[in-house]
Amino acid sequence: MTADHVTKTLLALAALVYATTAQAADPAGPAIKGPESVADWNNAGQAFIAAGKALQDNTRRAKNVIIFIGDGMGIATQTAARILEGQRKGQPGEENRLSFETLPYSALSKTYSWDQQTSDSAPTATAIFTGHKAREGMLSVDHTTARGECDAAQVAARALPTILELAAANGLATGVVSTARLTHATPAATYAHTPGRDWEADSNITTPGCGIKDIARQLIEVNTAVRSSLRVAMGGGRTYFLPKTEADPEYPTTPGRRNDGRNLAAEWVSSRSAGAAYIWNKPQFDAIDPASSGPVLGLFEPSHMQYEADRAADPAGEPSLAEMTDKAVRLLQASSAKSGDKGFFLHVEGGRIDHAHHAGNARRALEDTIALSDAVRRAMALTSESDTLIIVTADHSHTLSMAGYPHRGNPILGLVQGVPDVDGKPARLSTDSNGTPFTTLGYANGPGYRGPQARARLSSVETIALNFLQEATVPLASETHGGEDVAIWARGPQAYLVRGSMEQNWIFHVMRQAFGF
Amino acid sequence: MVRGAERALNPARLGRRALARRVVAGAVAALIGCAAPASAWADGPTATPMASMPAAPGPDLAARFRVSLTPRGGAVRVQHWQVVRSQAQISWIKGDGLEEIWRQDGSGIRLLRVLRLDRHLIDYPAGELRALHVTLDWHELGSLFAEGDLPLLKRQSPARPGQPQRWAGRIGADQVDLLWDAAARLPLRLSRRSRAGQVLFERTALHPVAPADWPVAGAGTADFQRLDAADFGDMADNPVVQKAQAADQRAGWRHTHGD
Repeated sequence: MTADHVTKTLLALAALVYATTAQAADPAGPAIKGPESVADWNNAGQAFIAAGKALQDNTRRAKNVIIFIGDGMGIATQTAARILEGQRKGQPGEENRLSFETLPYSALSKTYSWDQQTSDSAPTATAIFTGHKAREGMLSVDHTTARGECDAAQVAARALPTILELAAANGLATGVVSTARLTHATPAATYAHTPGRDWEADSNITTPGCGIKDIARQLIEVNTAVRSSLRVAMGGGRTYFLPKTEADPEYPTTPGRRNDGRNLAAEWVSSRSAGAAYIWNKPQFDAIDPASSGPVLGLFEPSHMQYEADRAADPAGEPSLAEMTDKAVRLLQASSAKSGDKGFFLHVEGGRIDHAHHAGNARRALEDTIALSDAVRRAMALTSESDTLIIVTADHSHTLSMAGYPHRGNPILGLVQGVPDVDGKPARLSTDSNGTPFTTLGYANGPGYRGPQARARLSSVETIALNFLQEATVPLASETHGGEDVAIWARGPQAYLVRGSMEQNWIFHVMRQAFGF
Repeated sequence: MVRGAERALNPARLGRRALARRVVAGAVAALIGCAAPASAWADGPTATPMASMPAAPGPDLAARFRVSLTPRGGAVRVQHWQVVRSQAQISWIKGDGLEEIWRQDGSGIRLLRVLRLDRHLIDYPAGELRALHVTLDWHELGSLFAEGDLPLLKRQSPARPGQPQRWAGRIGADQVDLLWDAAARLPLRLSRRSRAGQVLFERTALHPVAPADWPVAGAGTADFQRLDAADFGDMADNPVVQKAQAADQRAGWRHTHGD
């Protein structure tokens, strides 16, 4: 008799005893059940052990490094997105894995900054890209920098070299991709050094005589090495590059934001190597041939790009994060091949997970998390584990929680229905102390607060609807970041260094170690 | 990111909860906060998170209203509002330096809010409004009243072609008294009364196009700071953001929904 037979026999006996001594059970068995056989659990566990034993630390130098950041992608977000994606495949969902959850190495990242217990995206990006924890709201400058510092010499003295800049200095091709504005905190930390994350265009710097260049200008006026290295920069934030006298090409009633009269998009083309291109819509994006194109600046929205859930409605069309990642990797591979095959560094950000959470809208956050997973999958397919280090992490968490006792396969955006206490009976809505149903997903704070009266009756509400705002405990106009650890996933050269409990700034050190400079 | 502590919410929302699903533009609680400071009066956007049935846009027009806001137990305050309405754009100039420019295109309906006293412009892209669960009705945005809610009221005067008709009844928490100009699809007079107080709109001018001497919403703002509402979560300490979010909340955004 096999172990499986023993287990089945014991379960049958237990069921018989339960049926005769407790209450009448339905012979059809549980209404809620997973697809696994009893043997599957053991087999999967053994497969995991075997895979672990076969895993060999890749100690080679990395030719390429790609780092993905899901802005605000806490572990609850990751779990919920995994389930949503699985349920869309017709599975219960819990057993699903996002693309990056298949990577062999993982760790927890401590996201506090020099002066914040719960951080904003500026010091967290600074930690990841420079190896230094820094101050709230500051990009790639050390923590001795004064708030609002306008002396360029002071800022230059405190500027921290970024992994992108180091890669450029070592002759690698580089790229930055985001669904947020390219001038937004996370992508900007790869190339800009400023005490003010909000100084994205010159019109945002209101201190008279301030000597710090705005972030958009810094992207164009990068140092010589980065200028020749940066082959692709794609995201949103078009108006930060356009003068106020110029209308946005997609939304003609929206003007540019620059006071200095400069058209930085045009300057990208004129200041880069032959074949440089500026694109702002999907047809232009599709027309880019990575094999022959020069450096590409893609600015697809006046501000942030659309949420993934709204992307199809964009007037001029927008590429997905996966499409941008695909194009960027191919551009960088082609560029690298033309210049000694030294490799590349690429940063890709799923920037709008964070914004959807701030709005209290979990579904859009999950849709953008799945879009990030799709992008990672594209990068995994386009690169080799032997020479490309891929790291996936978040800069910080949010207050999303996954709570109650929903049964296996319960719609992740739905109301909690627990496992029936009697086999054969259907699942029923779980209720709070007042008899009111509640959703699995909720926020600790934010716009979804409905008090101070009794909770809303959600039984007749379509909680899976795209625009539904999950309930929140504390009333805030915008939901906030969360301060708990986030995950780091990795594969490729030196990926084994991603382990245990890590300070967020150690991610930089892993990348630099992998590059060997 | 977190850059500040929580802010007290405007109790105006308490009155709005009673409106349930049939919330319409210009509901009293949205216009008069129960405990709102005087400076906050009438700065709620015209749109609400739960608009009524979709409606076709009304005819292009320009109109002005005398707006009397009377909080319960308080003194009347008078403002003068202006709307310029076209198929693709609806522009409001309201009291206290608030202007709203609504536009619709392939991506949906988006809002540019002008906080003239603070010299700021706030962009609300269509996707951001949807993410905040703000559902919009283009006709309602330009008419102060959701035409689809007429069946909720009782006709008070016989139907005469070309003549305004009087309607009255309750919509949500509000007692509504409406003199409706069906040709313009715009109220001639609209009174909304609730426990929060009364708001009275009296139309003082109507033109097919805005006269040349009328101010233009959004004019002269080239040197204003411009923000994206999607960034508010990272700017909690910014006083203008706090003001804009407070206006959002008075309009029923950012804190409650029924569906």
